[in-house]
Amino acid sequence: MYEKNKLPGYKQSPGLRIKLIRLKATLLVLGALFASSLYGFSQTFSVNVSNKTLKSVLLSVTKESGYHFIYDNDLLDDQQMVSLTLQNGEINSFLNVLRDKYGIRYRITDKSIALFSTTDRKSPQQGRTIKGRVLDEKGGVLPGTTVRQKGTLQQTVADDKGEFTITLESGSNTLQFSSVGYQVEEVTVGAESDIIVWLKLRVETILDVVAIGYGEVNKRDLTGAVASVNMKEIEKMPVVRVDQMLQGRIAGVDLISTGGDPGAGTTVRIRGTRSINADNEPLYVVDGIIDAGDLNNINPTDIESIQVLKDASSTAIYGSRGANGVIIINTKKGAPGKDVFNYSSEVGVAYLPRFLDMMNAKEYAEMVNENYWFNSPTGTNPPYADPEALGEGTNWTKEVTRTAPYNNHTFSSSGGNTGLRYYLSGNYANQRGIIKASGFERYQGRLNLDKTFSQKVRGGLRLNYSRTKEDLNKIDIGSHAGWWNSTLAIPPTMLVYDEGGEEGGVFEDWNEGWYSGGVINSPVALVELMRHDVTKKNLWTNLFLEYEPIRNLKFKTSFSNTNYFRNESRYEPSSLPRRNFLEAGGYAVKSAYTFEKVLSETTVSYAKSWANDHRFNALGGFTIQKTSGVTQWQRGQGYMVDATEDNNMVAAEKEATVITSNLVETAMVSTLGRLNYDYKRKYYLTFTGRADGASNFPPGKKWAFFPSGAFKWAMLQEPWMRNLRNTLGESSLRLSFGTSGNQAIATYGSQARLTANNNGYLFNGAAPIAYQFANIPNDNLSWETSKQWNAGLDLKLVNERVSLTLDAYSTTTRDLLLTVQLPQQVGFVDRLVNLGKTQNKGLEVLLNTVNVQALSGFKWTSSFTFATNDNKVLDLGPLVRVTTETNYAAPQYYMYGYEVGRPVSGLYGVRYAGTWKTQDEINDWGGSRYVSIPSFYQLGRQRYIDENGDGVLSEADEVYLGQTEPRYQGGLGNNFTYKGFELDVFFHYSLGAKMYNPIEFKQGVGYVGPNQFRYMIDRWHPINNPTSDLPRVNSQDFVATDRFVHDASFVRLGSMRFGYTFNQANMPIKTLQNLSLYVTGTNLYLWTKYNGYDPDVSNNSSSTVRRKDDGVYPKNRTIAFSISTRF
Amino acid sequence: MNDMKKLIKRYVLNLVVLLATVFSLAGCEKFLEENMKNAASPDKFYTSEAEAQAAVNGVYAVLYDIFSNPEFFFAAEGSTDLMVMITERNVNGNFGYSPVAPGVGQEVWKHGFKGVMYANNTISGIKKSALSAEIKDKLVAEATTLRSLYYYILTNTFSDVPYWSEGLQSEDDVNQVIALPRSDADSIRSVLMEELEEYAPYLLEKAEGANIGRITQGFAYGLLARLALTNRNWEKARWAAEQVVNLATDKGIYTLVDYSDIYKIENNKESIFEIQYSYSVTGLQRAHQIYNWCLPTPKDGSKYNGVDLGASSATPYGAVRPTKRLESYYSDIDRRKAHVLASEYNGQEFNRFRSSGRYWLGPKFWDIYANNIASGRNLIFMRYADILLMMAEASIELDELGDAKYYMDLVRNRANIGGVSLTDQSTMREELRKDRGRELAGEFTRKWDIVRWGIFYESIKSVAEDYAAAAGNVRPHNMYYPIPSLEIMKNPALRQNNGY
Repeated sequence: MYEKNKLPGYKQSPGLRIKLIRLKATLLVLGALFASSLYGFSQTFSVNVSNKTLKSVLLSVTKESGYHFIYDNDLLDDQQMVSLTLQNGEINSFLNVLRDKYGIRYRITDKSIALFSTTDRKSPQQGRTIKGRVLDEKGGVLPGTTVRQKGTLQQTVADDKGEFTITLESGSNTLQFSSVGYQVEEVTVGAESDIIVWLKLRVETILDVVAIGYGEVNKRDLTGAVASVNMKEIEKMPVVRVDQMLQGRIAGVDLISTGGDPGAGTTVRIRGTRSINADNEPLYVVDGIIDAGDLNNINPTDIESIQVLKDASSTAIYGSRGANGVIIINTKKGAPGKDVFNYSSEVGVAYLPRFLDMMNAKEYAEMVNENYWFNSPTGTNPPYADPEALGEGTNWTKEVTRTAPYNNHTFSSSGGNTGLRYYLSGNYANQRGIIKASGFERYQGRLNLDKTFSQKVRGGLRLNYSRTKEDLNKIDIGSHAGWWNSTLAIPPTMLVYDEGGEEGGVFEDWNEGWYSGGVINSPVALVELMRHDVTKKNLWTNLFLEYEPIRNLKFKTSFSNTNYFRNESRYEPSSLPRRNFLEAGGYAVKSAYTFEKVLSETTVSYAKSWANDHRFNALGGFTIQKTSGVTQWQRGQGYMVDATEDNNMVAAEKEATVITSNLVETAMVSTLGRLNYDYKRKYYLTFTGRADGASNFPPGKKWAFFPSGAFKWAMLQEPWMRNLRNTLGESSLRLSFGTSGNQAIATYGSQARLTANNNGYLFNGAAPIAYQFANIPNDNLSWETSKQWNAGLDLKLVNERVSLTLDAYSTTTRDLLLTVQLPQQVGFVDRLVNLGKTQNKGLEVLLNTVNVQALSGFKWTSSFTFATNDNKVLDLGPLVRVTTETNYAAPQYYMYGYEVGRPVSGLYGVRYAGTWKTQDEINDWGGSRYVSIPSFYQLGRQRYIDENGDGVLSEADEVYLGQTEPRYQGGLGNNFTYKGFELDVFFHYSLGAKMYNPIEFKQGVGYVGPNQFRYMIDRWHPINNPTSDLPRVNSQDFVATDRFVHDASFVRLGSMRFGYTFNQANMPIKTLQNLSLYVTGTNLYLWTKYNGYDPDVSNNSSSTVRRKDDGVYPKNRTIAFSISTRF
Repeated sequence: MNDMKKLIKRYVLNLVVLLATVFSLAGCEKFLEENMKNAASPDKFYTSEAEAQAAVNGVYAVLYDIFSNPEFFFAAEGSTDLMVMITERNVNGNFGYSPVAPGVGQEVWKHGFKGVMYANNTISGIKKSALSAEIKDKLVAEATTLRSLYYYILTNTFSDVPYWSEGLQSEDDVNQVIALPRSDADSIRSVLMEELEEYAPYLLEKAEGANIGRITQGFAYGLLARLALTNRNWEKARWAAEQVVNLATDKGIYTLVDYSDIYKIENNKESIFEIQYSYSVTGLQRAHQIYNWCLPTPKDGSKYNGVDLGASSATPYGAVRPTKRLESYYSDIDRRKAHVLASEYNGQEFNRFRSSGRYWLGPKFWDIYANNIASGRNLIFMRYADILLMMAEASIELDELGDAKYYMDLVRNRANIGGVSLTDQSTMREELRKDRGRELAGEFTRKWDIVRWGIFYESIKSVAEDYAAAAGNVRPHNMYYPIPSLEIMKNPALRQNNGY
């Protein structure tokens, strides 16, 4: 980076202005969200002249561009005829042509351009020419290095041999050398005219070195589609899981929270959903530990880099587990030097961003009464004598939600000497849930050691321990199945405490809306009385040793071990209203799960280059892993003494106690290899392959091989692109093709099994052990294979102000591991087979810009991501359509499913056609167009389009209604800094997805049991509202209809951060460094048409049913203050 | 020196490649073998009688999937001429089922074939085992009788169904079974009858002690008799029923008990096969909620429709109600009337009876000790009185009216309604059909009886006054359920029942 504040007269600097103008074109792409001042110049213009004098050329350029030229008449030769073509060029491209072709130098001041002769040199000192050569650390040539004379406009680019010649102007004697991936070097030239400059690899910015599987590569040499996450952008977000920070930050990666409860997971789709039944989640590799699992165990502050491998060329090195993309996370290492201590602390609150628009007690009571009058027109005793007096009633959501505190504290220390370096950190996080009695607490510690034993031998340790405790949510927040005790469905007429009771009194337990009324555990009773928590302890260790017997030949072996313990504990006391009513005593569940994994990986790599033209490196490796998972689970009920909770489970009758246990073991062996070759850093080739053997496939099908290849062309290195090197810092094209797999089927999934059941048939009042067939054997089960093409383009301006990455891909996945519904005459309902084909095609854009970088210190940068994914089922073998989920109460109606030519995440339903308004309409079925369920051919009941015209409403009338995955999604971040101040604003958008709101089947039809969405006050009524297209009271028909399918598009103000970092001069306490104070808000605003809490959630039942909001814990809004310092 | 380095490089590289190859291909096959420890492999099972018995026990468990479902009760009893199930829009009660909304048909199809599959796998596993012939015969007999029961339920529900009887050994077997078309129901029943005849002798004569609830010879012959009656094979039906009568008369295994004891005492001397239930709030729980659908409603405190049933916590739905026809079947002297129909209890009159003169179903269909909706009372499926009436029915059809009167009177005399008049075949047939109704009401036989007698449609038409929806919707083809359309979609070889 060249230092602009040293340019004379910077504010009017033409260089800056031109850059701003040029930026405008980019900014327009980003739309109105960018503020940008406008300039009266056209940024680009075209010149097309042949055999004209230079003077006349300049005249036409003045006309086209608005710039005028000042020059000495002697400068331009009137006799010289010029031919010049420039299409949509910018002024400095034109000027560069003048310089390169005709030896005319220029200087721009505001709208004027002064032209000089290159030979017009007054002083020998200023006119002297310096020759030199640029080399990398190891003595290799560095072609393409930009060489500038500091403080002037003089610059040149080193050629293929790294050689350059620059003529100095008056001004400084300092030359500045910059090359992508290398530290900027400044050399003050003395009397010498021939210099050699070594550039050091830039290691301090992680963005330039990219972790790929089993190694890392200079970003410049990357051949695959790999996205890096800028940790600076996401640090200080008040979340405890790193994936929650990534939403919208990486093009092509779609993250949806499984819920808003603290500790909830995320479902991640990289480049769409490929698999139908097998897992679609990416593979996580943390510090080299494959499939590291739960991200709750990692402190985001410890993370140094995150890379997302997207194309098959990058993921093939992970073979059978790479098909869904790979997320590589590496943690921080110590650097030699003084011990550095960091402390950061975040304190904040979270709360429910909005309440749903449900009826209040008065409106609910009126509706129930209306139903009464429909049934007994002459009745005199409606259920609610005076609805008006009920007013608002109980808002159950308010009763169980709260403003919840959030705390997160991290202390870390790092340092060491060249021999031993360390990074040590500890974290305490406590996030209470916005629903009472839920929350997440974590203690976590990390030790990273790196030891250099000798020049040839190095080793290290990565150790992470975490203990998390989740107080699970105990209540139903609004699911369709739990409607009778969900916060959204319990009638607002029900009181929290017994009649006349006050807080702390006896819980009201009679829900009059549950059919003819019933005793329930109210949500308030549950949060007060019930206990349900999960404690997880996780220890990861990874020991590694590197040996480099001769230069560039490196052996690395690592041994990693994961130990994971999960303990669940749940107790429902006998005092819970419903247990009390049934005299059922207490209910307890206790379970323990132990998971262990050992993984040994050994790689050998070798690098070699010839004549500085051919560079080659090879990697080979062998990995072996074993896992075992042990479960013990027990449940008992009928406990008399609540005080012992689940700690004395023997205190129930034997028959009321259930005990189960399980053991699942897997093994995997792989060999892998990669070859990288490049010619002059211009043409790159990469070949990758991995052979995987996995235990969970049947004999003969255990091994598979996944090859891939990639090609990259660094265009800028071509001689004919040399002129562009003044403008472009990088310009390369990538192309890759490869295969990767998905082996995510259950252990023992191919074997016939007989499982024991002690809960079977009774003989003489006792159940002897029974064994039942649990699985159809399938000797043919094998991997699912994805083939992916990827084409990418990387562009970067030389000043690094704009960088653009474009990727287009097409993935075809075949032999899908598909659970096929079987004809039930075989006694099983489904089986897993390899069948069918899906396709994902998409485009990804990542654009980073520095919009303003002013002398005053003000800097404005933007980051924009955009991704499309077009998902389609290409083949389903003999199947026509596969239903992934049906309506829960009327299973003939499928809601989620897919068919050939449609996306995997398809939504289906019957098209709503309003209500029957007249008897005539009913009699001729609305001109034979509309149908209802048989008993709903009545005024004010809902009707639907009879798609197939058979006069009967059935699943045959269902049509495709859209997909649950977005068509376009991404994010836009803007960061402003000024002296110590920083403002960061991040928007996340997702467009084109649709989703059902399943609670409307009960709560959007005027059903008199549960509370209703407020829109139902506009329901049809023969007198009050005869034209309404919302059905009359009590019109529950369970028809899957587009009336309940909503646009799930949204734009979210995902996060906003404002802070101040003290510099050393104004530091209040001198021993502290880098003291910064921040206030951060997340999920600050949501623009959406969806009528639930949030469209970006999913408690999916299978990996293809996404964006299913069935009582999902709502996302919170968090405001947090943070302080961090170093000393 | 350089050469040396090259040599080392080459050597090391080669070694690594070699090691990797050796490891990956040879040594690893063993490492990658799955050693399943959380479940038994069928290949290594059936090594002892206890193991084989455990697999047979697994075949029984499907009975819960079918019988615990109240919809199955509505289909078998609640949508007949004797009882109606009046809940609005219940497709089983109002004959609203169709191929796309198959009602309980989908569940019977699914679970019936699951029972068949368990039985088939178990039978082939036991047959292939090294167990002694004696053990094999006993256990194969038990599993075969259960398989017959599942096919009996399937054919009664759908008429023709796919028939298969081999264990699933491979994917090919599965592919074959999923493409099977429906087989003729009469032929299936004939096969079942032959099997039952062959295997019945190997079964327990009497289920005692730990075997209470198990399949016995009596049940196998009883089932054979029902199959034979359905196939109008009167000789075989009489022979089969006679085998049970012999067990009663020669060995004293069965006898008629006091009518109230048939539902008050579980697994009594008259019982041949009951679906076993048990419910304790804090202990063993195998519950159904069928009796909740029969309990008088509404409930107000301890009062059910105005009558105090004592300290009951059962939730009443009161949706299954007797028809006028059932009410007309009982004379006032019939000892069964107070058990089947309820106008009052403990001297208190039900509001329904007081206001409209209509009865509730009686204590035979109540479980006032049910916990909310959980009842642990057994469901009666076959008892000795049924055998006697089948004996009588077969005799009437064989025109041996004297014999028929003898067996009918055994049942009638217990009810105190006097002997049947020895008249002509058709009059006695009419009386026998009423006797089956009065005696066996609510015991999962009525719909299948009126179907096999060919009087389904006109019988249902008679309930117009009791439940207009049922009488209005019913069509002759409703005697069988439709094959669920999803099943036809998955197996196009299946053909739909006529009328649907």
